Amino acid sequence: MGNITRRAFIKFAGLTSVILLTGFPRLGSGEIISNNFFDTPVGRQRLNIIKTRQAGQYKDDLILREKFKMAASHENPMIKRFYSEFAHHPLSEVSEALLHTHYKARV
Amino acid sequence: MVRKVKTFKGDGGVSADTGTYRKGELRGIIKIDQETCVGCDTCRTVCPAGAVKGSVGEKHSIDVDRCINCGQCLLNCPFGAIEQMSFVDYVIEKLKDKKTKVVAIVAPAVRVAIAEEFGAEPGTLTVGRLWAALKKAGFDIYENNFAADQTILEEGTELLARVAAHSGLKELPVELWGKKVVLEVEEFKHKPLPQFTSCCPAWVRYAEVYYPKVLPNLSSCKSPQQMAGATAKTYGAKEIWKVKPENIYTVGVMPCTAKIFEASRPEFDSAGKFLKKSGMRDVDAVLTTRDLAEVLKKLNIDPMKLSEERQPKDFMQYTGGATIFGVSGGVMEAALRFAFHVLSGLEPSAMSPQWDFEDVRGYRHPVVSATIPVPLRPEYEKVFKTKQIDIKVCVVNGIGPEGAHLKPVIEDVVAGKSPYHFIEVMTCPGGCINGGGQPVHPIELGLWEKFLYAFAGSIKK
Ligand code: SF4
Ligand code: SF4
Ligand code: SF4
Repeated sequence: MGNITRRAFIKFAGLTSVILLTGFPRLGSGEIISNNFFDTPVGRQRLNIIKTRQAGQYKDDLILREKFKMAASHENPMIKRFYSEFAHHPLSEVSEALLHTHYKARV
Repeated sequence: MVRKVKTFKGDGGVSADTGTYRKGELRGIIKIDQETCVGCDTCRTVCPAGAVKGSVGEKHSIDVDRCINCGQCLLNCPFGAIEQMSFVDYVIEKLKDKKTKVVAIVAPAVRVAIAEEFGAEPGTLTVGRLWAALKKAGFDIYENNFAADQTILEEGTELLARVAAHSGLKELPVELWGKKVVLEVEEFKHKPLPQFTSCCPAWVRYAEVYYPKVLPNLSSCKSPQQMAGATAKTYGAKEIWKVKPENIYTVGVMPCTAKIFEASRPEFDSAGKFLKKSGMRDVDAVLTTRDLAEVLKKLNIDPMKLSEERQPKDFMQYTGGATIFGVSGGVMEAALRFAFHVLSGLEPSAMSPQWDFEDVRGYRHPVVSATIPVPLRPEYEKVFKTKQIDIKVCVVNGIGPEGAHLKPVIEDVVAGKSPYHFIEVMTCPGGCINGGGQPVHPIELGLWEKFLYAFAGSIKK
């Protein structure tokens, strides 16, 4: 392999893998071929994990609704207690002090 | 099988304002190991913020001033070259200290992924056994899902207040649990529509760094993690646990690396301000899902051997609306369930399909939008002078490479021609279940790539 440097080879290997893994051949041009992450090879590998975890999350929704009879946030008895004992109502002074914030530009 | 992610120990944050970071904030939560990086460029192509530097064949690095800490590069690096700042050691130390009450704030997406670290299939739901494991380790529990319910009450009401103000109203009556309050909404005239969600700290930082013009559109609500910290040390300390606030140490357990940064932001000391005690943080430390698995392993606790039976009490109670915060479209659906109740006055049973807003669920599309017709109760019919309100919503399911999915949506908002009332933005594709702090399943390399990289490694420099 006399005149191939490690860096040149990695560049070749890397290029191949970019195409194989991400499907984003956009060297130099900055152009993105696919905007949909889930249509890229990396995205497709993630999608199955996303799907199964998502199913788990909706299963929890079902358990909460079936077994604990709580679908919407105001149905949580502890939420009711929190507001009646402490925060009074949403957007109250206590809420503003503890639960809200403000944002500043960072440039 | 999941892959172990290398970590490095966190410090006390920057000592003065530095670049896009402010005093006290943690800078450089995600780092590329220069020894291991082979320059395959995958990280750069998934980065939502254009923060990765380097081209194919070069060692890559992260421009921390542009980075929004989402960890998507870490999750998707095929070579395990990306590392995360960790607070595992600090938390274990606090667990040993008997006078400290260590409170775990457990996020929804953790419960559908932590089992993977203990050999189970992805998506295995782990709630009761996760709580039991945390208790065995010495934690008390403040469900981040309870905080999600708090968020919905605040954020949903804020949305209604903005809609009312922009419909020309001065006040808005809101009835909850049979009690009526009349909210002054005039000041909400200065808060524009659409309202953006603000639970995702990577998105909040994205807006602060790249689109400060839309900051007034962001909901003023803190993320659930920060609401939990502030409530735990005030109401929790006084009314529920009856302990001194300064003896509480709050630990976010998150699917997310950006949450590590979020907790260090200087403004998140509201419990201390409220109680007039200085030097108190709302959230003291953050563990990712992977970090929590490490803590449990170090303490010889396997949640999978414990019972999944759950008996929620106090801050462990949460609703279905809260738990779906973990998936893309979930915050939106939870907000719609609440807004639907307030506006229509209806109280469907828990299993009613009226609580399902399937049109907003993320699935595999980068941007989802929907129009939700909500019937108005008689009182609101008079106020809004209509029988039904059409709520127009949009869900951005992952900011996308260099902002590709979010940019068109945000440009419309900046130009004042966005059709929506409410927009949810989650930085990670699929939502927090696919967050940068979750167990990492290695990307499968094909034989061809394996051969290339093995060969490359054997060539002399
Ligand atoms: S994905 Fe990993 S190996 Fe590839 S360039 Fe980025 S850090 Fe290096
Ligand atoms: S992918 Fe996320 S964590 Fe990685 S460099 Fe980009 S913004 Fe930072
Ligand atoms: S989508 Fe969730 S996991 Fe990803 S950065 Fe935002 S809050 Fe963190």
